[in-house]
Amino acid sequence: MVFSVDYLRGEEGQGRYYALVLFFIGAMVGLVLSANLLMVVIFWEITALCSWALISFNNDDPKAVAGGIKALIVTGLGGVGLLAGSLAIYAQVGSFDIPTFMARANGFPPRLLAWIGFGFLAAAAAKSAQFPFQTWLPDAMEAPTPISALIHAATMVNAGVYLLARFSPVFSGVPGWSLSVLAVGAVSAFIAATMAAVANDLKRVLAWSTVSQLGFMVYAIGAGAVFQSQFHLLSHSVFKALLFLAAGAVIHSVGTRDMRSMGGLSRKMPLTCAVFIIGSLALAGIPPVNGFWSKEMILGAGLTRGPFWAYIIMLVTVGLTALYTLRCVWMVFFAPAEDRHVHEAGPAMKVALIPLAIGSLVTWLLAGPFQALLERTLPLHFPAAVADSGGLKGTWAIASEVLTAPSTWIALGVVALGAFLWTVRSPFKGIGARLRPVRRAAEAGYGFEAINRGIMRGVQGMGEGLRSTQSGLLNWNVAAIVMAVIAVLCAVWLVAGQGG
Amino acid sequence: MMGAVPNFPEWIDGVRHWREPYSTLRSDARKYPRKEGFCMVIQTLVLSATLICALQAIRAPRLLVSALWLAGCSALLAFSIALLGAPEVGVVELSVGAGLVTVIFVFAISVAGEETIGLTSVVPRPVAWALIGIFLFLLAWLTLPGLVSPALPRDALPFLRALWDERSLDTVLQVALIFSGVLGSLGLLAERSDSGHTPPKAGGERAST
Amino acid sequence: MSNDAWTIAMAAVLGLVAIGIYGMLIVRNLIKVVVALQIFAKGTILVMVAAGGISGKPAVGQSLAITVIVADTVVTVMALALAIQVRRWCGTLDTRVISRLRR
Repeated sequence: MVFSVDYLRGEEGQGRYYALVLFFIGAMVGLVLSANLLMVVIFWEITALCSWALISFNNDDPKAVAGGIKALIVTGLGGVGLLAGSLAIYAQVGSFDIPTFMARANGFPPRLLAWIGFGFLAAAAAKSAQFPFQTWLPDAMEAPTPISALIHAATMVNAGVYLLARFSPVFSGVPGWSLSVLAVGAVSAFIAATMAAVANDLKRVLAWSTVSQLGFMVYAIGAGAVFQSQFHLLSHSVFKALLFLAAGAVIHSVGTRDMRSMGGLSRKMPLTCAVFIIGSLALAGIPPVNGFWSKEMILGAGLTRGPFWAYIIMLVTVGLTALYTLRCVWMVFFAPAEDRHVHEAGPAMKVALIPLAIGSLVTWLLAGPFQALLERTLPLHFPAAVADSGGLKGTWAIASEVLTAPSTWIALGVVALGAFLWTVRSPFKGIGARLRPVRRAAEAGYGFEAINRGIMRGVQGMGEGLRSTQSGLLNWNVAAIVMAVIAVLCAVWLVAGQGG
Repeated sequence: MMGAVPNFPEWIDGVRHWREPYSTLRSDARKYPRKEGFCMVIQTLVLSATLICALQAIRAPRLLVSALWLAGCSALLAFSIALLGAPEVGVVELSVGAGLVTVIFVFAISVAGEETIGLTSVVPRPVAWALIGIFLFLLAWLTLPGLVSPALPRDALPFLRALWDERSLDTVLQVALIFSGVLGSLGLLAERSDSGHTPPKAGGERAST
Repeated sequence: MSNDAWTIAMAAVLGLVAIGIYGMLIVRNLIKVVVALQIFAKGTILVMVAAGGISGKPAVGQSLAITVIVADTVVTVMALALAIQVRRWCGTLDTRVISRLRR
């Protein structure tokens, strides 16, 4: 919010902007705090609606409008899964209370529970931009940058992960559910990382990296590592908000989002450069920034609890992450570029950036208290709570565990390999040329873009078709009312006939 | 049900008990139940006249005439309701339905003005007839069995008590409704099309239909 | 007590409802649509009284009939005020012409 003051200075419609942002924050808080499934559904849709309105905030720009509608339709379709699952739960339990459901889920018919589980998975995948719904998030980057940071990195996309985490104890018994979640996470993480490696738009790189990191979280839930997933969620929201805001400062001063026309900004914007590098270190998983700890925890859990092929995918993704992060930083801040006039971020932007940078450096210290908090508030998720996990002592325990785990060193090696590949990339030009078809496919979104566009077009066509029924003619409206009454009477008749 | 409201003023109980149908027409209804045929004929006539008035109100080409037919329909219906043993409702219907509403209609027509509009309907007539046919069939099918079954034991709750006590929430809401209706219509009527916007003319389209 | 009285009343209800719906479906003049609505509502009033008599709760039926009268009157007043505004802004009361203003 503070950041927006500088970013939007002199733009029109600020009242609309701030009202929507506050509405969104309220809905998000409600979504997370509510123990009522129906309220969750309602808040879920409100966040989707706010996100749509804010993406299309520059409503003169057709790209922004298209991106907004895409986000609305895709997340709305996912919401159908959530709604259907909730209604099925209500039909079975007779209440929307989440704890009641969790307590009585064992009595559900397995098939119904599977349907509910996969409905929720669809909702979460759509909301968190996971495979195969991942393409809406990069298009949502037409939004003002503070919105991208707030909604599309820090809060809304995490709602899907949150949903999965919250219900994971119930659905983990469903055959195939955990594996599907794990596969969705791994595939999203990998695909998004490759796309981030070829994108040239700074915000799109960040968006794909968001999808990739969310894939990590979903993967962790699939592996049953709820704490690791939630901890990565915390780290990610801090460092990704930092990255987005820093990117916003860059874009604001350079006036373009194309990384090819940036470069050499490290001397012009030293502060922004510094915080961006901190965020990048976290994204790439390099110690001692918070992203390192949480990501290593996820990988450790994946190695011990998940299937081995998924672990390999995640390892490759880690390397790719390091690669594209380095590429991004280099292109923006260090690439040779012609001289041009840019200005450092404004004071309000700095006020927002510095605490986030500090947060990226230190939030991993909270691991112990965070784990204790989760164990206290979510007893169903952690049946065997460790008694001595709490405070800084817990953090040290976790940290030493991470540092001694073999997976950490493997991952660090892969990170180094990825970074190395980027720095000595010239000998690999030949390979790069041979990989060009892959690269083109990645730029085209591997065809999923086409699927999502098809869905969108279908929904819009349906809307247009339905619009013709809204003739606005009073007499036809009355006719429709009469038809509805006839339908109700028929239903009454049938029910009465059945009742005797 | 009656015992639930012991401290209700005694005088209300004395005001009005349930009457038989046609008891307003004959004072000896209880003594000669067989003589209902005459009343039945009267009721049939009144209700037929009501229906005719309603039909004429729809068919009349001029709005003012239509409003007057509606007033007639309302008055006849009020009479028929009184015949059925509910004179209070009849009186309210007569004063409000036939009186107030007619005045408002005449006022609205004088403000809006007469306008001859073609008879070509938007909804095709066969569709309209089909809808009404299905609707009536279902309604009749669902309600008639209730009529054939013997009358249920009568609940001797006095009318005014029902209105003011059992359904007091309704009554309070009605008052609120009247206020909001008055305020709303006043607000609507006060809003004039000034502010430099000229209402679009639709005369050509009207002539063609 | 005769069921015939109520049968006649119910027949009249069906007639009023049919005429009201027919009017609302066919007529294009807004004010006349309100007239049709009134006729429909008269059917409702009658059915309330009749239903009270049939089910043995006449007082409840009658008080509901009063409710219907009041609500319907308010609706009529509002609808007429709207019709006057429509006339003022669109210059017509024809539903078919008004619906074209949408585009």
